Formats: sequence, structure tokens, C-alpha cells
Amino acid sequence: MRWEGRAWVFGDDVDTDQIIPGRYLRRVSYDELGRYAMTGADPEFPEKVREGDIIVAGRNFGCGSSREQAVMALQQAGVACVVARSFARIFYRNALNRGLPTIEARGDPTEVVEDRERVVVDLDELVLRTGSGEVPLREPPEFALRAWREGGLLELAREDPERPPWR
Amino acid sequence: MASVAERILSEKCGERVEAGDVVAIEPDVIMLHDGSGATALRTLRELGTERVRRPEKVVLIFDHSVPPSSVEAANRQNELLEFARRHGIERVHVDEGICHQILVEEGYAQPGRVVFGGDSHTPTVGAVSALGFGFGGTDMAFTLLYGELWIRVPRTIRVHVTGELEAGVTAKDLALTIVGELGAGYADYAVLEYTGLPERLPTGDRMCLCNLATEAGAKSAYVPPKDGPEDLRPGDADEVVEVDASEVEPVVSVPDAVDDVRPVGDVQGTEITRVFVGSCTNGRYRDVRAFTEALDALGGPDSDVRVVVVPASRRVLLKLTRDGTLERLLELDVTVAPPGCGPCLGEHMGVLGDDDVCVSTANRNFPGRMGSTEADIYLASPLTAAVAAALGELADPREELPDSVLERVG
Repeated sequence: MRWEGRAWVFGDDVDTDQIIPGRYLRRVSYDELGRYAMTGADPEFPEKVREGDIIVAGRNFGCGSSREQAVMALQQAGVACVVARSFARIFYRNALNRGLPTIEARGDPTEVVEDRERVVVDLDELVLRTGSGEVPLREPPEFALRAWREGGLLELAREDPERPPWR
Repeated sequence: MASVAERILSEKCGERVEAGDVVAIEPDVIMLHDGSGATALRTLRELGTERVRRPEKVVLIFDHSVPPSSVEAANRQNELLEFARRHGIERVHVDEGICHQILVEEGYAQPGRVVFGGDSHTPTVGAVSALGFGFGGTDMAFTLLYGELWIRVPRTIRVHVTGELEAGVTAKDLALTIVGELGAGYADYAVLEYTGLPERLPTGDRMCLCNLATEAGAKSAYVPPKDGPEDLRPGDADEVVEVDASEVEPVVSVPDAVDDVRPVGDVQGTEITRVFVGSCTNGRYRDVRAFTEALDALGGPDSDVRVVVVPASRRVLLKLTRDGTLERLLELDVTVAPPGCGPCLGEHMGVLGDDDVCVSTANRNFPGRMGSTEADIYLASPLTAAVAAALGELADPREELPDSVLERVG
């Protein structure tokens, strides 16, 4: 898998309240969440982001509330994948279920990637490339790759709802 | 010897499993609230199927937006009630209190049971030696559909607490101190097992500790039952962290990170505009009682501070009503809101504006958590909250409260 797009760089411990603030959860429908994506960290983000852009972050991305709307909001805003030093567990699972690739970097990618810079995330070569440097990526587990390729465990379950996608 | 978590999960699997193994688990309790329940329902619709394999295991609790705060919230809750009726889900708790509180109060969480909950603070049930894991809506939808869900068996980080807390220092201060020492993502994919002093603390204090384990990234939390059984007593741990309770001071998490924990003395004098007492961390009877006694001893809130108390459950509110605490709070010009999550997640009942500085007894102070991203949130114990309410600024409760109060409620 490979993505190319503009990078938006965030720091450590970006929690789901920043990804989709709680005040929108029960004010808008599930299909309108993208208009508020990342507004807890950057109020202008929904206007700036374009289809295929990539989020780059530090440690523990997606910590806090278990709200799956965080993943929905990023996908609706057009985010293709998230590359971070590490992910919080529930966010990682939510992303796996909905087919948003969450890729761990070796080391802190925010030290290498500049905000708005064009980057390439290449899972075959396990590297994120910028104009001036690169960040090695950790090899995603096989079941995650399979889920991402299919559009998430949700998509696998849709094809055969009788069988748990992990069986 | 296997860890307690490994033993409990092995029992569930019918074979010996170890940390790192990926296994499918059939939980004893499947908990959904109005937020995660609605998301799970949405997922079921996306899947084009609607089945609840084990309705007798499901507990549906409305707490996040109660009474409903918007048309959207009201519609989703009505749909969930209809869903519960269609599928024979009988354990439904509407407006009765916060899910984690209800799980313990109603006895759904029991020693050795496994609880899968659609909420990140599901590890709170570790206070009664149950193993709780939090998930998002789609994972909960899968659990409804299949009666099982895959998880990775967690490793165990034991936090062994020696010594005693001094007067004026509470379980909240201990819990925040531990999160501060470990850091926000330290316990990711691990169970935090609390031994020593926590085993002797009241249930509410144990809930406070297990609740904040989530903020250290923990996947679950656990306090062993004081008097066995043997198979629920601590076994191996992958790592042991020692904490001396006698060295813990009254602390606050300063904006905007739960793990940025400092002695209250370091931020003494910070002016505040709001106080929120409640949540799954500190909304129980003893918390509100301690807050009220301390606030009363200091003559009530400063005239520039707005105070909202949200009891964790109707049972808590009833107890506070019967013993006169509720009346005392109202006399002290405190607003008491109905049981539930209250303003903790920025939904309603005391959302913060740009210039607000809030002292909250809850568990999160992320930017925008309680409303405006400009607002500041300091997380603190009910005692520190009472002192802040009375003075209009942060101060060390040990310096401000009379010894008689400190010894009675601290």
C-alpha cells in the first residue's frame, strides 16, 4: 500500500476530543462529522484539508474517549492514513474496523516532516519520504494490512455477517 | 505463575493463554451507553444485519446525554430503547447514573467477570476485581452480533502502593500522582494492577484509581479482592512500580494534559471561575459529602465561582438527600444537576466558555473537553475543589481546612 499527499503535523497525545470535540457528537449526524475534524486542535483544519492528505503525529495518537466518531471524522475529511510514533489502543481498533490505516513510525516522524509538506507513505518499502528526508516505518501486522486493504473489518463482516472477521 | 488477567482470560478461553496472545473472548457483561450504543446501532445498519446473540448479557445505560441534550440525542436514545425492546434486552437503565457506577451498584460487575464496555473508562470495574475493557461502537456491534470479540491478552504492570495517605490527601491525589509518574501512554496494552494500600481502600476510592488507569493508557485495571479467592489474588507481573503513599501530596493535573501533574502548592493562587464535582472518577457519596463538609467549613463558595455538583447515580443522590447533604449544598448556593456524566464531556449542564478556568473532579482536561478550547481545566480531588470554590483560587487543602475536617473527610 502506498499514499502520497500533504502532511498535517500534530504533536504527542492528540486525544479524541481534539479529533472530534464532544459538543458535536450529538448535535450533528454521523455523516457530517468531517466538517469538524481536528477542530479541537486546529479550528481551520476542515477548510485546509483535502482528499488524500496524511496526518503525522507523535506518541499516543487518539488517546482518551472511545468515540468512533474520531475515525469517521478523519475519513470524511479525506484523511488517507495516519502515521504516528504510537497509537492509543481503542483508536487503533476503531481505525482497523473502519479501514483507516494507522501506521507506526520508528522514531518521532514530527521531527522530520514539516506541516503541509508533500510526503509519500510506502508500506512496501516501510518508509515515509519527504522532500528532504525519510522516516522508517514499522511493519504493520498482517491482519491489519488485510483489513485496510478490504476497507476495514466492518467491510469484511459486511461480506459475510455470519462469520466473525477474526475467525 | 500466570498473572491474574491471564488466569481470568484463560478461564474464559478454556485453555491457557499468555500476554501477547490474540484470542476471542465471550464477555460476561456487554455494556453500552447512549453514545456507544448509538454508534453500535449505526454499525449494525451499515452491516445490514441486526442480531443480538446474548441479550441477557447486555446492559444498556443512558448517562452521557441525560436527559437528552439535543434532538439528535433524543432520537438516538429512543431508537436504542426500541432496539432493546425488539431484542429482549431487559437490563436498561435510563437517567439512573453513570455506566461505570451502575455496573458496580447493580452488581453486574463481580470478581473475576469480564466486562466489555463501549466506553474508555470501562476499566473502572477493576475496583471490584472484574476485568473491564473499553471499545468503540463497531467493536461493541461485533460483540452484540457474535457474542465474542478478539483481544490481545494484556501484560500486567503492578503498581504496589506502600504507606498511608496523610490527612487531606485523597485517593484522587494518589491516582493522579500515579498517572503523572507513568505518563499518558505508558500502560498502553497493559493491565494496571493495584496492590497494597488500594486493596484496603473503600470501593469508591478503588474505582477512582481504576478509572484513572485509562489516562495512563491502560487497557484494563484491577484491584485484587481482599479476602481471596486464591485464583483472583495477584500472580506474576511483567513490571512492578512502587509508590509510597505517605509521600503523595494534594495535586492537580494542569491544562491540557492529565499526566501533567503538579503539587497544588506549585499553582497556588491560580484564579478560577468554575467548579465541577462529579463524574465516574469522583461523583460518589463520599466524594460529594467530603466536598460539602469542606466547603461548608470555609463558609461556602466565593461569589465569583459557579459550582455544579452532579451525583454519579440516583442512589448517590438519594443518599445525599436523606442525610441532609443535598439541602446543605443548596443552602451554600451550589447547583445540583441530575445524575449522569454532566459537563465532563462538554455536552451540557455547565459547558465552559473561553475565559473559564474550571477545577474539575473528573478525569480529562484535554483542550475543549468541557466546551471552549480556550478554557482551562484543572483536575483535582473533591477537597481541593472545595477549597478552590471557597477561595476562588487554587490552594492546598492541608493549609486551608481545619484539622477536624481533614481528619473526618480526608
